[in-house]
Amino acid sequence: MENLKSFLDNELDLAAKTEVEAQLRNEPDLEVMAADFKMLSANLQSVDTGTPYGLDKLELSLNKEKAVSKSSRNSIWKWSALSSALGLLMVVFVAPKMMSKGPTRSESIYKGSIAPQSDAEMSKTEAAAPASELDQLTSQVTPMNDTTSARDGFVESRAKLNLGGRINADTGQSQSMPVAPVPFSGEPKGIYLEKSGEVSVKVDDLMRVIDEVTGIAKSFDGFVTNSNLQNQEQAGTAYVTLRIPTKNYAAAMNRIQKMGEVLSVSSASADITSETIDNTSRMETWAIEEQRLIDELKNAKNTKERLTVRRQLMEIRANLEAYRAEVKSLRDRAQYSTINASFVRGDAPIQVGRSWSQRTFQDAKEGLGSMGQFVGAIGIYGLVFSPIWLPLLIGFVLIRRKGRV
Amino acid sequence: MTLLGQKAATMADKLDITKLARQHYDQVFRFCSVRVGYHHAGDAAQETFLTAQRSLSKFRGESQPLTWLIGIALNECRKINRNLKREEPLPEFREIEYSGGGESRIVDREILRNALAGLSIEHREVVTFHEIDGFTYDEIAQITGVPVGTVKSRLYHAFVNLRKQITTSAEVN
Repeated sequence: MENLKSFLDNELDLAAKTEVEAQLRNEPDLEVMAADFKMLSANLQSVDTGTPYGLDKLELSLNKEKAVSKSSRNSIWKWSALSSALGLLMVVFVAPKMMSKGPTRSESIYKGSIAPQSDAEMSKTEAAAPASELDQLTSQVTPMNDTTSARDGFVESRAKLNLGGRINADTGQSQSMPVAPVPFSGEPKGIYLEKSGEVSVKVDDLMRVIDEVTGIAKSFDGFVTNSNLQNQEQAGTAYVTLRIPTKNYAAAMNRIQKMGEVLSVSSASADITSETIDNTSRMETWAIEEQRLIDELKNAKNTKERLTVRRQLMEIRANLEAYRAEVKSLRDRAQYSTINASFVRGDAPIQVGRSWSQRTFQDAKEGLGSMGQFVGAIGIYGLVFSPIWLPLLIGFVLIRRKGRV
Repeated sequence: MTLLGQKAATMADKLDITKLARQHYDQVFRFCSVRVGYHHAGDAAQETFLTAQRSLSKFRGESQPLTWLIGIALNECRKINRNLKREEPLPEFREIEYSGGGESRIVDREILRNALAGLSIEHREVVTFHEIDGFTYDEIAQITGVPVGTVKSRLYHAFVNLRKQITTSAEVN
């Protein structure tokens, strides 16, 4: 019976159709039902849906949407291209300028631009405290037999504490003590790099190597810190460590490489900027504190107060000196590059005294280092070129997303 | 790109929504008119084609473009009714005289509307698709996602119910 509607809609296959036809002939009720179904169908199909409208508006909307879609795609690419160009310009022009922008306060101190002021002030302050007063103070506090020995003891203790030569241990005269470290010989670039390089060269005459390398070091205002020569019958090697001013590093490396056949060469740079700035800042803080205490000492009302302040001053000066030394060391590291040069004799095996496992281990270590450098280089390139690829990526993602919607 | 994806991309390249609109707009409009009423039908039909244009890349060509459009139109109509916070309105019928069975009979429009309203949602949907929109059983199965056998069965039982309700109403009147 369920097939009746399908039969009327002509949706049955021949066998089912024949079966329904037979049923219709034999069952009058079914025939009536079929007639009613037909009547219902006819009535249902008489739905009034009205005259369609809005096709013209739709066509306009479709065209507009197409144009917008096209222009938005174009604009996305335009914006991507524009931002890429801007990013490129930034990388090329703005970044180097920012890098070489004026030094910070810490850098200024490091460079020495603030130093003269501090020096002058401190010299003045120190001069304001005459030696006779100091003698008087010491004699009052230290239970010594005579004033001279008391004075000597005080001066000695100050000399031991190394107060930057402010008071001469012998004469007791005040001297100028620079708060800031010795300024750079060159103009600071804002970034302090500690450069080092290794070069391995195969030479014919090993005996001349040390002299020649020493000559190179001298010619570039550098010096040799370490040298080692083993010239045996079967194998000959020489190791020389040079310290060369960073500005001459490349030239010195080049000269050493020209000494023979280069077997390997590598360079590395360590950024010590943050360390330098950090230490300089700390040094500055201690210097300010020192100045404050000097002022306090000047205005001290009684001997006890003066002694207390002086003790504090000594502690602070010790710290100040430590930081000054650290900054000087950092400055030297940035100013001078280290070159480790190894030389092998022409007829000697390149890797003397090394088993295959040691060589493999060394190779693997170097490989790992290279891989690390490679990954790091990719990361740095990615970061630097982000103004170019990032907008393109965003544009691509936006277009994809829009396409999906 | 997968084979299906390639096919979809090719289909999307071939389809031009403007052409499709010219071809099928009337049918989509009528479809929408039945479900949201004449006044909202224009919006629903237009939105259907605009949505189709935006999602052209998703058309895989597994069904006829009209069936695909009707699927979108159905969603648009539901969205409009949902926004208007109402159920799907009943269609407006013209009063006709039927004389197919030899005996001339007129079905009152209100009785027919009430009978249609008395059907379950599934039955009413299949009746609307087949009798009013004129889709075949296969097309209804594609649009609604139910087997053809279910469509047949639902349609038969819907008609039995309609007939019963109309007969009862006629007897009461």
